[in-house]
Amino acid sequence: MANPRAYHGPLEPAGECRWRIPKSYKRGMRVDGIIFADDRLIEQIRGDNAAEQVANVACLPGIQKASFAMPDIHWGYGFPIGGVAATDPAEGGVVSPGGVGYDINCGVRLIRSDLLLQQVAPRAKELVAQIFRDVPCGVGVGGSITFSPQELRRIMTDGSRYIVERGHGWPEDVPHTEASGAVAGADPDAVSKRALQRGSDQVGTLGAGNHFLEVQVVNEIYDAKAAAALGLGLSSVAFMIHCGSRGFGHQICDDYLKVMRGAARKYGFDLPDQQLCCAPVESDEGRRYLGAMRAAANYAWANRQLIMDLLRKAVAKVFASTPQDLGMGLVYDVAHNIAKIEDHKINGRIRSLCVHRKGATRAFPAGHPEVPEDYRDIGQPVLIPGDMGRYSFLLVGSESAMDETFGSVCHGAGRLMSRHQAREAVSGDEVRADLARKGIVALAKSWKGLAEEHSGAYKDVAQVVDVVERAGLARKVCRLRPLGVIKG
Amino acid sequence: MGTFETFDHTADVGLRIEGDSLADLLETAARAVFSVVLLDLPEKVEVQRDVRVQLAPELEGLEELLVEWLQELLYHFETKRLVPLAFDFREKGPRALHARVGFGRFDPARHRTGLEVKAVTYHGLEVRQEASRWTARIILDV
Repeated sequence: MANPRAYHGPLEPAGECRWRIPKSYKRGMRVDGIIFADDRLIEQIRGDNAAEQVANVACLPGIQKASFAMPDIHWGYGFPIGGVAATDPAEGGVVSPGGVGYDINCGVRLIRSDLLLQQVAPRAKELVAQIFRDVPCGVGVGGSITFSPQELRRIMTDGSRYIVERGHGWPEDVPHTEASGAVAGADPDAVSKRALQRGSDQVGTLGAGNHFLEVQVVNEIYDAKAAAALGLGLSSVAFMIHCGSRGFGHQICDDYLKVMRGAARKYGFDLPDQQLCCAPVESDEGRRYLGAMRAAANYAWANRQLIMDLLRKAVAKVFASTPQDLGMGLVYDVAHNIAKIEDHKINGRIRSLCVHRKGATRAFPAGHPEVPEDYRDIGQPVLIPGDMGRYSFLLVGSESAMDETFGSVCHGAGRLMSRHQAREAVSGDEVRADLARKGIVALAKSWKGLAEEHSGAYKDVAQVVDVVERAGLARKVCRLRPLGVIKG
Repeated sequence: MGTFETFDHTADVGLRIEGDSLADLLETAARAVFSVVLLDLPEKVEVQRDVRVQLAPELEGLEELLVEWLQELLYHFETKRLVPLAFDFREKGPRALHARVGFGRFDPARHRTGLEVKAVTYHGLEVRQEASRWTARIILDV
């Protein structure tokens, strides 16, 4: 896409689907930049400022190996969307709120069912309408439950486990959630009053923008053994939820960007972009941010758990059954905007690193202790939503991702058109008509917002996923196509 | 009376704002942000509130003041469903701001919505004054 801020710097071929920005490109780079893309995607990537941002991230103190970017990379603020950066706290490595983003623990959750396409297709309209009624979504819409400050503290420390404990879920949902629904080390005292106010009535709400809830059907299987282990067969109907920590997380990011702007000056960091502001992981500012960020991450897992509970009940209502009888088990829930302290091998030695995934998904291999026991033979499920008119993918992580990208892969299709270009290209009514032609039932609070999310505004997620597979970072398990779309 | 237009940013929304005074710039920026959030505005002012912004010592100047001001208004929207419609600046810049703001009430059943603004970012943020012309450039995370 024509953009005055296209990237004109170096991109050297560096092996299968890999392109290098050498650290000699610009002053301050401590490591190379590595972008995963094929010949076609790399041309699109050159079209905006994202590659420059990959180089900027390479300037962060304590960064290890390389500043990585996935094939769905696009222009963000500070960090590119689709970026992975790990820093070593023992070497003065930093944590940066910009490397997580405003929507802390934005992520994806996939729910299976025993329902088959032929049972759901004739009732898709009714089903989507019921879910749209029961799952709060859209700008300025609060949830059905308001949590007291005490209850919010439990959400901050115990995430989705607390929601399950309150009766909104099944015990087996917990191990199928990254970090079992709550990362340790959340610090509710590092969270501002304002974040608590914004978060008090937003648990169990989808929000707006690119967040969605989809009714999907498995229409292609690439790895039958893995699909069976995940409870997915051809023509089986599943549900995908994409959202994050809502205003609670946005406020925490904003609060700590201010703290970090001061910290970056205090520690004498010379950064190419203010939005990359950061502090050492081992500093008061770094520890407080990580404590607050973890509280928001846990809030997001609680949010998706409560949304799933509302979804299960809505589906059961339509089919006059129970979620249990419909087999609506949680396949997996994974974050794609988060920073985590993880063990990784650097030059043959295990080190504890701060891994930033900004629009990137954790993809741990088979056998890893953080992969749920019942999936340990196949690897961690990786959920990659596409655009609403085409398809989404489920992959599993691999050893090479662990060795090369700190166990990380892409997170979605990645935007191709700006919102303005997308609106110029089609209207909300045209998008609705196009989806109807494809047999997809769509309901949205904002049709303007929907128009900006149409298929053509995104890269083809199949291309993105193919690059990830060719690069050896993850393996495709199945493809899901939308039957129904709900957006805020 | 200030003016604004949007500019392209791949995933987000950029706003270019012009005003003939700092107060005009701040008011126009508020109108610009809420034109992204809502397609219909409430018809009348129902609540008057004092909105005060005081920059923390680690923040530097006008750019941050603009971000804080807009974040403050978004906070009123998100937690109280209030939409700013009328502005009376009692004190303004470079490190503090006090405005008497007239708000209308957002009704999800009546007012069509646009995009949810997660935050006003610091990325590519700019505020400039040339003679009596004030301009600003901000990128919203949506």
